[in-house]
Amino acid sequence: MKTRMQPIGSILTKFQRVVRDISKELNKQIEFSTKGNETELDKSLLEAIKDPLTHIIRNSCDHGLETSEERRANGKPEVGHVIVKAFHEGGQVVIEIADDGRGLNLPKILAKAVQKKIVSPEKSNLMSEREIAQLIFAPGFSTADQVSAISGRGVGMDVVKTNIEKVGGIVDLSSEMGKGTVIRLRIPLTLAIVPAMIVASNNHCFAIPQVKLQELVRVDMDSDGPKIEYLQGQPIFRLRGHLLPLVFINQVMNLTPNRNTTEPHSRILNIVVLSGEGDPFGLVVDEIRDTADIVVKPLPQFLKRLNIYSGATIMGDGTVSLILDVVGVAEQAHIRGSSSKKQELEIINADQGMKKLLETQEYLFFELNDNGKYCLPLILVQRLEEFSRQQIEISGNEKIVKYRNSILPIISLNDFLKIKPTESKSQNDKISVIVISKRQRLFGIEVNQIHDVTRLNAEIEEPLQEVPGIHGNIIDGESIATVVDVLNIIEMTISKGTTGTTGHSLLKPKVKTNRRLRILLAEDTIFFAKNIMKILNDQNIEVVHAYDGVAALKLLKNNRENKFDLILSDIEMPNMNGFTLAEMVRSDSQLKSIPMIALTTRFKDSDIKKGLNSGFNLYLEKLKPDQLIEAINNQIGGLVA
Amino acid sequence: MSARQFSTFLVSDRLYGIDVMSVQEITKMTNATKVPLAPPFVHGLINLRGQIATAVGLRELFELQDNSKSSEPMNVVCKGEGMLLSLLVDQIGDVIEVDDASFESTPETITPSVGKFMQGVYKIPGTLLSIIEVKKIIDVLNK
Repeated sequence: MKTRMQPIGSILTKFQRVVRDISKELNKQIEFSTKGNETELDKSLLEAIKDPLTHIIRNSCDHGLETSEERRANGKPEVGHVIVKAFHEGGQVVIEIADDGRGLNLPKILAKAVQKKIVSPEKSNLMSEREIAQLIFAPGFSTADQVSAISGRGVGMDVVKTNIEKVGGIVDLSSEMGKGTVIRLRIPLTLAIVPAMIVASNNHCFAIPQVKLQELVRVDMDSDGPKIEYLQGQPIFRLRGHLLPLVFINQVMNLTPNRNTTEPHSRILNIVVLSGEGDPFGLVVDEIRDTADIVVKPLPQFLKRLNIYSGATIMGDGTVSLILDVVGVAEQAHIRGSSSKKQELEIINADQGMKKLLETQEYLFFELNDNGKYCLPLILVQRLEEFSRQQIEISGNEKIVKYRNSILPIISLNDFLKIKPTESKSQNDKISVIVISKRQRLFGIEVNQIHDVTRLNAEIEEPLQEVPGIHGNIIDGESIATVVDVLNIIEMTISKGTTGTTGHSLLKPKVKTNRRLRILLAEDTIFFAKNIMKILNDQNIEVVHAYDGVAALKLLKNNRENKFDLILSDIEMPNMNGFTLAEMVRSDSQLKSIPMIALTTRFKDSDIKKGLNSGFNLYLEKLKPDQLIEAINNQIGGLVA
Repeated sequence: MSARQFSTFLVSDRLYGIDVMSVQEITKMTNATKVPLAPPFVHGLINLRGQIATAVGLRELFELQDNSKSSEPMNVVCKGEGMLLSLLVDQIGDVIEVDDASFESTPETITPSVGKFMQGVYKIPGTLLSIIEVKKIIDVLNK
């Protein structure tokens, strides 16, 4: 055993030369130093980490450290430092490669990752700093603007990570902008023997490598101490003020007791705090047995593919135990990297399509016969009302109710979506109605029960099949809710003549032109944008959508040749609001002739005045298709006819 | 005329054979460590004198409907592709020596759930011997 162990210094000293060569080549002054050369490591591991280590050190010199001029300008000593430290910690060898260079430029990394399509622009908005830093380990990633002989050739940190992980190690990285970067490698002492924690649940025994283990927590559910709480139905434990998501091993691995144990549920929980790819999580097991140095035996490929076991081992009593792959278990339990720290919304360019959009919007949640979760954007809701069944009258074949001195037609969502009542549901003698205003008329939407309002920052996934009246699905925590396209439902109900009382509302105005119009729409709320686009598309108008004023202005400037006929703009938008957009357009000699219509839900005199002053030709209320079309006719009908 | 030797066994009363050269040993069923979330034919992992073998139930693998539990399953331990595969069978038969002349390829009508593991059939007096190829099992498992 001892002969296999060799001091890490035997490879570290070789890097002196490597760094000296690089510093000459890059014309940087670099001081390279090592610590803990005597730290011993398995010979085969030393071989395995040699190349990754070389790569990291070259990277630190090339990307990490600034040029002498830059360093001087930033008030740093001209000589940059790269320090490699090796030491034992918890049965592992830790190798730290630290530089005092510029640190990671997280926005640049993110931008590059989006550009290289490593992350989608939608996802990029939700990434925490830690996740962004991890991007440099993604395959094909390089932020170097120029490819040098030393690094930036595309084979990069991903290879480092794979190689280190191949020998059971972990790569970690921390960085401070302007101060430097520290890359930390945690390597097991030897390849064959791994210190592990043995845990048991429902007569199944598992080994967890100590590398992944942070700490053990014992929770007595009967004591006054901290307990397991439930957040949106998911178990959570407060660990020193931080929320630790919990995973019950019995659930995630589907462990059923071998014998029918009818003993009362244990009031003591054992939490094994593990670090996966992202934030730590707690694995709840029945029993924590012992630590043991285990000999890792490989599993056949088809079992490895389950992704929750990294191997097997033979215990002291001759039984076989499985070694848990912590990252795989986290994935099995759907714990991914942290998404708690949300980044601010970035400008999404107009050309990125309508499909998946990020937005925060308040949704009103309600229930229908099938107990599923339904919601609609709160912004459309006028009021919530309750009527007793006696109040509802039937006129023709429509349900109506007297409401504020007029008649409120009631549309039952259950009927519209053809959801049959379940037998167990007893009919309540009160009905819940969501009052929606459309075309200056009020409509009542009958639902089973109104729940609450939640602000969601989620993308609406369009359903695979186009279902009339369904906008799509939205993720609310762990569950999925159906977004009801209530405006469309009203529209369809009216046109079917089952609810509409007046015939003339069917006569829709038409845009009168002799050619296809091209309109720019600046609107950050996707519901309104979709609504407007549908109205205009029905009129055979080409609509180009921008998510804010900045994107709209960019589009206008890029389309000087193929000018837009009209600009429709929301007032309240991120990055650049409608007023500023109007002023910018009016101050541009080429663009100033384009008519502009403001679309808003705010209809205050002061706002209108401000809008007209900043350059809008007209002020309109949102969700009034007839008025919108009429206005388009007025603004440009004559112009092109 | 060359002859081959096959280690034979019964699964759901049907006779199967594996080339003796790919069989390492035959043992009684020992305690297997269950593998949660693994496919149903994986009975578990067994410790074979310090080596870990994966126990695969041929009955489940062949999708045979017969549910009558065999009283004492036997392990036919085979080596292949760097792993130990322990095939669980109902009963162990003799080692049979057969003539190459009596070989025929797998008939088309054999259900694919078994046929995909078969190399062919030997016509022996009184019965037919289905030849199972260990490599094919491993290939299917790893597919």
